[in-house]
Amino acid sequence: MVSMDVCVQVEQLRKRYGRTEALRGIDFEVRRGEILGLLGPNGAGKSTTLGILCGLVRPTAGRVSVFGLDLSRHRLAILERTGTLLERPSFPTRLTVRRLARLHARLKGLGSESAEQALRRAGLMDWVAVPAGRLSLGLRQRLGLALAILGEPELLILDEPTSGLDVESAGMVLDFLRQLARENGVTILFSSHHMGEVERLCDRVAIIRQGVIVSVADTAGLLAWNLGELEVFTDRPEEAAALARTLAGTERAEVEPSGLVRVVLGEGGTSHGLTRSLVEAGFEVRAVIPARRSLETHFREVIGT
Amino acid sequence: MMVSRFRRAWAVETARMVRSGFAWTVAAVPALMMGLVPVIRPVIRDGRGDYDFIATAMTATVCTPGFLLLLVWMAVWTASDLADGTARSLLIRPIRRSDYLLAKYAAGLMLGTVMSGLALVTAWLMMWMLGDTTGVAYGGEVVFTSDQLVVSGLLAFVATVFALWAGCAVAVLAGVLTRHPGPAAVLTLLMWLTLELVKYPMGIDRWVFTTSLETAWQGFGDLCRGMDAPLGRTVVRAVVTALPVIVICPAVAVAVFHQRDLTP
Amino acid sequence: MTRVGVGLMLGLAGVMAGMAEAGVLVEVPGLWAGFAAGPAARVTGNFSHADLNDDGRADLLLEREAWIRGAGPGWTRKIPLPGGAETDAYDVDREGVLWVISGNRLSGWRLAAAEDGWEPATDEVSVDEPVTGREPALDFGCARRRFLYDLDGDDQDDLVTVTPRGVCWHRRQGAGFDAAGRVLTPLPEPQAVYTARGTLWPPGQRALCLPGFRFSAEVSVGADAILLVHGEESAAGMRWTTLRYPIFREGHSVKTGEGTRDTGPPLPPDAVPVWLDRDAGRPGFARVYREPDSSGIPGEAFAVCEVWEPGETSSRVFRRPAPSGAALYPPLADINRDGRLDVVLMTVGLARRGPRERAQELLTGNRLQVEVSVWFRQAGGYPREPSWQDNRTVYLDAPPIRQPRMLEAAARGQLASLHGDFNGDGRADLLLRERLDQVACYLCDEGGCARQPVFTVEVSPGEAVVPADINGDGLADVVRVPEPGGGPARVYLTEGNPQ
Repeated sequence: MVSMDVCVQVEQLRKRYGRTEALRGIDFEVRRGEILGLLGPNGAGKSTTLGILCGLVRPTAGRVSVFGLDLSRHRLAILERTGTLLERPSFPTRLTVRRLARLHARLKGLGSESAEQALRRAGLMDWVAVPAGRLSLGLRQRLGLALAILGEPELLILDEPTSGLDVESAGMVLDFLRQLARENGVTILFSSHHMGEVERLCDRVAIIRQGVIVSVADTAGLLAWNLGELEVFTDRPEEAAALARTLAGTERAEVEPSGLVRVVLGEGGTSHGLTRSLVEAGFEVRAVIPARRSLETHFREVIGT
Repeated sequence: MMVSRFRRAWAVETARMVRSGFAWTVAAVPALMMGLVPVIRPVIRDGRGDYDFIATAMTATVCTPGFLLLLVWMAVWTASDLADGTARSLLIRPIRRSDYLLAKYAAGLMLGTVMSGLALVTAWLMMWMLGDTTGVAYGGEVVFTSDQLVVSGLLAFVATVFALWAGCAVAVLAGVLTRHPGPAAVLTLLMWLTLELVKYPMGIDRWVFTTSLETAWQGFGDLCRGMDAPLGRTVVRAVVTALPVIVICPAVAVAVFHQRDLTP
Repeated sequence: MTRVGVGLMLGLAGVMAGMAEAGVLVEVPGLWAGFAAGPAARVTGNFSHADLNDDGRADLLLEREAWIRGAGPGWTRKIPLPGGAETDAYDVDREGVLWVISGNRLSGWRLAAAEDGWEPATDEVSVDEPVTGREPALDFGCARRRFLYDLDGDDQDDLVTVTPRGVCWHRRQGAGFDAAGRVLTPLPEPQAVYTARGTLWPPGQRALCLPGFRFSAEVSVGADAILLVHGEESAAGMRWTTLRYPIFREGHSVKTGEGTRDTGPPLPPDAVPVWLDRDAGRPGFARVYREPDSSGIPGEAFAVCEVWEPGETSSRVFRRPAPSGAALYPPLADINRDGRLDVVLMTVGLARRGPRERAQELLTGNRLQVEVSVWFRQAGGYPREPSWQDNRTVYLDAPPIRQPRMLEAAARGQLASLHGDFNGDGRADLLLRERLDQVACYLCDEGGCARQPVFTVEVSPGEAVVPADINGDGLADVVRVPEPGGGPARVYLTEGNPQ
């Protein structure tokens, strides 16, 4: 039974291409109003998963329900309420941006006003008369996003939404997506390579590896401060690290290529005690900061690299 | 709802087709080729009806070059959507795969009809401007009036259109099977060529829709030369041989397409 | 179809030579035979029937031989005819006497009792060249200008001779003939030549046609009149004149009345006289030709038969598609044996479908379409639409581009025939060479032909098959005529009614 809080529920989803098993029984859910990031190396099964969710790929086994509806039986009803952006979307080259938007709006049973609104929100009004074939990669991506948000869908499925965008544009897209989720309650499921994007945007992140979900965790929890690990900025880092190693509460201390000294505290060790020891030893301690876990760290731990 | 979804898809495909230069080429080429037909069948005002010019013209422009152009266009148009991801971009919207494919097919039928209609009108205009539109007389007796020939010409046109539609059906299937424009065009032409090569040795020529293309206009031409020709029977045969192809090939294409994973 | 008693047949019959440059092996299948048609005149023109041994059954007279009918359906003996000079003509009178006509000398012969030779039945008699009548300006050659015919109605066959001075009658007198004879009709002045006798002429008329180098006319001798038809070239076309001399009998004397002259309107030079109705006093005219098709498709044409009613200037045209390369079949024949010439257009070719289809069919096809259209002649003319039409398919031994042998047969007009009546119902039946090695016969009636053959027979590739009543029983038989030098011809005799 699907909870009312759950927008997308995936159960034991499998997909085999010939002898290759792209998905080997994945389970996850996307709650209403949340942004779930799907992270994984190339070939992990991210695009396959999203392809199944938007009906382009047929699962070998398993069950997918969206909005409480079985995808295999209610695909069209689901797509009416869903917007999708594929990686590197392809458009008919001769149709203008405006014409494309109107045609896609028509496919969703919407009028031209919806098309105009979507283009406006995606910041494409300056390019409405340009044929799609003449758009840059970034503009095509924004056009795809505009088409995805046609009709204000309840669910957005986005495959690499910032692919091909410059930093500024990517940032704008992420902000826009966050706004959609926070203010309009849109549920967003998106896949990405970029840890930073996922960190910045997602409420939860699911890590997929070789067709298996290996981790699903709250992003906030993953990125909490770690008071047991300190980053020390001081002069003479090698000597400072050597001194730290001699202290009773230090488990280990290493100098990183950036010059900071990373000290892992052991039992009884405190940042205050370490700092005082360094100062008393004549080091110029510039900063002592508790280390923060990154998604990348977690990713590496989970993937095993 | 089902009809409205199909109509939406058809509107999209028609809008795309109208903006396709290749489609305009397919529509226009047979009509443009009409200019060369007087070389083989002159049209002059000599008091004798020139309706058989239309038969010659349609045979020379639509029945082979126009037909093959249409087939190649249909196959390429279908396959290129699959190859470049346009189909994926469309099928993430709430339309069925069958809606999408059949809408594309319907657009192709429309193009075929427009192409042959344009050619017919052009031929008729040329006859009207350069030749005689009187009926057919033989041995001092009017054998067929102008009105009768108009009706017969339209019957032949119907037969041609059905054969063109059947060709589109084969091309759509080829496009779905190959998923790439080049192989789609090659497969379509190969299928046509194979059919043409085996139909006479196997004795199935009367049951193959491609035979009706020229037969209908040959029948019309015979009428124009004062001969009784079984044009009605030819038209019926054209419809009967084309209909199964018009239905079955797209159905198979839809079935194949339905099972396919649309991966990048 | 099976051949019954082949071994027995070979024991009964022997190889016989003399028919159309080849011998004939008589086979008695006991069933029907079918064949492809060739120009009927080639075979039917060089034999006739006569009861030479007074057994009530017709014996066969070939050009130089007589075949004597045996107890069965075939012939048991062949006997060279007496005489033997190239110019000798033969005729058999109603008493069964074979007359050898050598120039002005005639001799009568009877079959010997042992049926192995001839015994003189009469002394040699001689008739004179007539001296009355107009002095001929030119001599002429002719095919057959002496024959026996009872002109005076005394139940004895007289001698009728066409000479440069006119039609001459030598009355039968006992075992001989009146030597002097009487010129009954003059011949017209020498005029231009018209085309040689072709396949327009229906068989069976007791008429002479005299194609000649400088003088041509047709002479027809009947019970009531002598008719002469000759053509004269003019700037407007060929003008045909029919001279009709009524015959009066006064006791044993035959006289002709005042001749009436009827000159018709000018006609195209290739139109020839035809007797559209058996008892017509004047001939109609007809021509057959191929008319190019304006479709532009190479090889497409129409077979056209154009018929003029007697005395008419306008013609009736019959036209059907007939690709070039195939022979034009004889278009006039009395199909329903009502004494009127019907129009028969038989055309053979690929289906009319257009240039590309034509090209494909030439390269890959294996069939030809045979279309037969018949217009039955009615009183005074022909119907607008064909009385019936028949479409058949014949199968080639190779695609047309490779010049299969069936195409050769088509080019010679040997694929279809509508001249033989096989079941004796008074209507000609269709013989169709359906494939290179098989011929089929379809019985026809007023409405068309049956869809299923009544019999088929195997034939050899180079053979032509001709309908002909060989044994004189009124039913068409089958003759398989081989290629020149190809061995004996074969005769299949029909017996009974296949239905």
